[in-house]
Amino acid sequence: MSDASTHTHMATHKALSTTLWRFARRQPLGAAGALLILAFIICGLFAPWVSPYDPFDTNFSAVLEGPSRAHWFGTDSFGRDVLSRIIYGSRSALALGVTASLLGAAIGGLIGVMAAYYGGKFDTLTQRLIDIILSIPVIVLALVLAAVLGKHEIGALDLNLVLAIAIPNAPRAARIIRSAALSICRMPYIEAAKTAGFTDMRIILGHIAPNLAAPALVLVPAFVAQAILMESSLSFLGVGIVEPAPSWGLMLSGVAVSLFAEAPWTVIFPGLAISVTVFAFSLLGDALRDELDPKSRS
Amino acid sequence: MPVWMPQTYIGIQKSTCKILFLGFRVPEAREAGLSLDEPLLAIKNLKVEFASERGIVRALDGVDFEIGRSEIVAVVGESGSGKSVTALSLMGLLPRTARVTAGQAVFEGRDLLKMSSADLCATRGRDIGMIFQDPMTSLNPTLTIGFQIGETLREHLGFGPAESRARTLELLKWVGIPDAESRLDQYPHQFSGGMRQRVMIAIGLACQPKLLIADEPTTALDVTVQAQILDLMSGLVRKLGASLLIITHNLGVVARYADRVVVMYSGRIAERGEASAVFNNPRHFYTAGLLNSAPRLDAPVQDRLETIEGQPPDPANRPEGCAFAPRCPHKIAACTQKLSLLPTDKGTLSACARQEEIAAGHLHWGGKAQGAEPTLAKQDEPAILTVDNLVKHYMVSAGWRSPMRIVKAVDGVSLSIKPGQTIGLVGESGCGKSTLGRMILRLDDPTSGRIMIGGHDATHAKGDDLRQLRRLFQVVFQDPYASLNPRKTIGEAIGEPMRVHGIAKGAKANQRVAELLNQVGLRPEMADRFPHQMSGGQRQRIGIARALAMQPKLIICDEAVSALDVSIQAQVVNLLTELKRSMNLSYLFIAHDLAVVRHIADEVLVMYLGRIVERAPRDRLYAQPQHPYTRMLLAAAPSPDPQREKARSQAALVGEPPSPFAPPPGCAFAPRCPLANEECRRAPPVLRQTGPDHHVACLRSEA
Amino acid sequence: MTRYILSSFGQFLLTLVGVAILIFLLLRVAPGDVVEVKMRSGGAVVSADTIARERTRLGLDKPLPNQFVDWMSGLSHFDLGKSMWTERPVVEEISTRIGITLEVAVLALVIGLAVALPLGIASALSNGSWLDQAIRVFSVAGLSAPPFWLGMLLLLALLLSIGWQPPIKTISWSENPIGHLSQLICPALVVGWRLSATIARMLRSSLLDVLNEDYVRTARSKGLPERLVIIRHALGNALLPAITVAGLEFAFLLGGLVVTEQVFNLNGVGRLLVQAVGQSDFTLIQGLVLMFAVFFMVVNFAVDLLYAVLDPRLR
Repeated sequence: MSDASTHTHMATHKALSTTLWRFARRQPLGAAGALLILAFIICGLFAPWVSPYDPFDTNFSAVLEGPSRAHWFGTDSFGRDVLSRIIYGSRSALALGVTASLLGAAIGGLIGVMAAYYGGKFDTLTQRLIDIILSIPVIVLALVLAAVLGKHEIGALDLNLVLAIAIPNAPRAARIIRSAALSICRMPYIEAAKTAGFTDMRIILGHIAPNLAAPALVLVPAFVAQAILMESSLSFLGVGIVEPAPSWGLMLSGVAVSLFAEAPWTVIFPGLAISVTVFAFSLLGDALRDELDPKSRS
Repeated sequence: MPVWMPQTYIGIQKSTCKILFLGFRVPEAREAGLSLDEPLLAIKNLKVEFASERGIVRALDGVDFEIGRSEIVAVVGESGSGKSVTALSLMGLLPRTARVTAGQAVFEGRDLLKMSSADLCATRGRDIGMIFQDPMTSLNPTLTIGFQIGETLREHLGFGPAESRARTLELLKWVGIPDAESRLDQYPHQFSGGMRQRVMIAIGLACQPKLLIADEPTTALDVTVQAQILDLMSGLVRKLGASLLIITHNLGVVARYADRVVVMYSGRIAERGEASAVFNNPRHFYTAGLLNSAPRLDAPVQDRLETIEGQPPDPANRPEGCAFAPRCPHKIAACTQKLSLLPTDKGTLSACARQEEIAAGHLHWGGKAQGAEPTLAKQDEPAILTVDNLVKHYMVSAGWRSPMRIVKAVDGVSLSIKPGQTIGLVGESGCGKSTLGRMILRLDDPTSGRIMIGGHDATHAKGDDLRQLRRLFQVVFQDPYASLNPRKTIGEAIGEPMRVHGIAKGAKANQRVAELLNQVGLRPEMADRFPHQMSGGQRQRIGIARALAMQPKLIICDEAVSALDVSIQAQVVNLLTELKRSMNLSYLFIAHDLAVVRHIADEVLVMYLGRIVERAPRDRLYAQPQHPYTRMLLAAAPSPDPQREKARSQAALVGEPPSPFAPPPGCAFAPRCPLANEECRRAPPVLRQTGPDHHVACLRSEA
Repeated sequence: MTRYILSSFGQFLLTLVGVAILIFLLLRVAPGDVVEVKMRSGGAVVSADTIARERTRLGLDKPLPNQFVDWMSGLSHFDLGKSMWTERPVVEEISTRIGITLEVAVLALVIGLAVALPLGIASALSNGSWLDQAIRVFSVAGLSAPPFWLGMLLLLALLLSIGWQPPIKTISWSENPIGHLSQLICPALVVGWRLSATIARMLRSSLLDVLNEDYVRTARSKGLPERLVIIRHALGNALLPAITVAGLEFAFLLGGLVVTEQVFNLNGVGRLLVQAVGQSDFTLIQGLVLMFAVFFMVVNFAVDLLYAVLDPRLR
């Protein structure tokens, strides 16, 4: 018995590693993205060990120093080490980006599946609501939401900021998942399940949802990328993460704007961190789409 | 005037002289020093490989055949036999993953496979025209019909706008498009499928090519339209003195037209030669099997259809010897050796190792056919399904400009099925037969009418009531690839309904799954596999097993065998017949193929534009069809018998099924009906009894 | 067609009312109060009485439904009320600033299309090659860099190379056309790159889809040279979805400018919104959000009409 189970366990492991290897060979850019993401996650998790300085330590004798051996990315106007702040910043960027996008995708996805399956009035109603929300530019809605909701921190995570980013994105997820679910709902195997007298719950969870894994998997990295961008934009505009917390977007706002001619490193490196992270998630999302969506495969 | 001048061109010669020059193309070839005895196209040892995820797959493994001048050659084979790859490689239209690795295709002295792309472009469309399978997708949706036909003329013959327009108009009239003048500036979506295929023919023949290649030209069309298109195409080709290469999976389609036949199996040629010789005296067991397994209207109904057991080999894993050997009941040791095409006693070429024994009459395919009697409905037993005046109307709008219209998809259909009885429901696409099935399955809600299942009113049943009723009736769908959930194993697909309904649980359920798999002719170990590991025929068997898991009284088969190859189709039809006998099942067998329905149904209903036009016991319907539409359907059905096909008159085949958006007034069939008079156009006729259990909705069926 | 326009207009009104209700409710649950922010900013000591009087004057003491009805009745004759901060009519506040934002948006669209069309086509035609990979990386990069950061880098580069700095004050078209354009070009470039990335990606995938269509095979079988097959048969159909995306992105562009205007010191509606949010100026926020929504819907409608003109199936 245990013999058999270890055997299948090993087989699954082997299958997984070959799948990953195949993915890496066919989608080198996607694999590079995944590695970059892994690097950022490690940086975030082990920030206290990785970063050379305490990100909050001000040092007024070393204000706005350029990159040097002591401070690879220089220091900011408070004399704080830019590299350390970037490393710590990856925590909030990833935590916010991942929670907000997963939340948005989950809310939207659920509405999308229900709308596709039940159709009729529920579908019409949600579609109208989605139309309404989508007609407001994402950043505008997020800006207003972030300002209106204020701050509500749970641990280090500002829940309201998560909501402000998740809500404008949810309708997008709903649209995408709905159309994917619609084509699945029309498949004969779903009709066969209805004919077999299964309950709606069983059909949605057991038959439709597993087949939505692929579109959802493609959706999430793209959403994380958008959410990280959004967080940086909101922090830049002053309604996101506030001082003295280390956040990439925040590092680009305020004094940095006026001083960037004298101290370009305070601008270049945090922006680069945002760009590279978003880039990595986008590459991964694209690669997953190419792999999982047979239509886009060429 | 040269004799090969097409008659239709005589009128044109006065108005535009340029059109005439095309009539002189045969002498042109003569001047080039080519003998007319030489074949127009000679394909030698053609090999094509595809790069796939599983490595290199050889789709064509040495194909040789020739097409003579003014000759009609048919390449026949089931899916995966390489017939379409052959056509595409001639035209240089293979997908990027494919590569021609060996061989020649000499067309008028030049090898098509080694031509420069400029030469190939000059040849395509001008010397070789092509027609594809799906007319719905083969025309550019954003360009007018006139532009798309005229384009070829401008490109190859240097026609100016006025000339090309005039010639395009001629071509449209030529391919039988009514009102050609006004249709010239219309877009493809404004044409029906049959009309679009006519446009494709006009494109293919615009420059009067020497060869026309038609890749499954009628597969996507309804049977009454199919015959018209084939007649048109072969007629025009004969008039032009051109050659025609028809690629098809349906032997019947080509029996009427083909001079020679090439039978392909798994990337190789099994047999080729004179059409009548191949059809009448096949010298390869695959050809014989294929001919025997197709259900026919012109032979007595058999108890069991002849079948070819098993399925074609995986082209990545093709046997070195005869690829058909694993399925052949007469295989011997010699079949594992590499075989080549050898001449037979009938002047054909066959790759069968035992062709001499076939010729000597020592070996036959299969056994003697036995007649089968239809199951007679027991009058006293209550019906398992009664449908009473069922109606389904949709509100649709055809576009922004057009107002909302009511489409009567199903317009008052009544039927009843007794236990153990099979009702065949026949009709062309868009007649509402599938909508009717879906309403009975309660996947669509009827607009009005009543559905009684097992004595319970199912019309508006909901929730648990409906779920309980659903145990009585199950469904088998058409598309074997879409009817199984790709993420569930075969065992889960069959076992889940039993568990949900508490029919069987745990180990008992697993045991039932194994039994059911056995019952549908699959091995019980297959329960652990996923659908993508199974072939189309196997999936359809799984679909049947899933339906049986609920122990239903009635199974609705919605085109359940239409997507399958002939040899596999026969297997599934036989399986359904056996199950019906052993389990006293009832079927509602929805199909467009009259021949298949004849083999399985006890009573047949013919549907046209939402209404039943004729209903009769099987033998009576096929022997004495009364509705002109039924007669037309029967006349149009092709049969793989050249003598019979050539003798058949197709004069009666006209028109296409009307659009349900704009149904004609009165009898919907009147516009195509040879018997219709004023009265028919006034009101739709009702079903009336004309014989024992025979009902016809026609005012003039006796005329 | 008339029926389509009428029903679209009905939808338009419905969505607009929806947006109005949504934004109104959102702002009323907000904890911030414009009067407090306005009067107590800078640490001024103001009596509760004064604040109450100011609230009454702005109509903030009325019950919510009444406030909503007031606002909606104003809306019906294009009166968006007055800014709670500057006391100028919202319509006036917006109209003086919308011009510059629209100019940047249109310029960005032109740049975006000019870049996206060749890139998208080249990428699809060289599918899988190094060129395709390079173009895809360029596009993904355009989507990944935050526009405000790109803006800063651009300004930095201009400053270091030619010593150019954006003007502090807005230069009007009549005053100095070149100067006017010069202040638009940088934000348009930044936003245009992003726009081009989205359009190029869409064009690439739709062109790849179309190249697999049966009718492209038909065109090849007619013996048309590959160039004509692509231009006449593939591109025409592939552009249709790309147009939709370009339209959608253009509609979202005003939103994208909210952040970019901040960097380039452009006095457009984007900056106005950031200001209004900072000052909890409810009427101004409401007006601006409605304006964004109307712009989005109008552009969308225009795209629908354009699509209908280009696609004979919808005519």
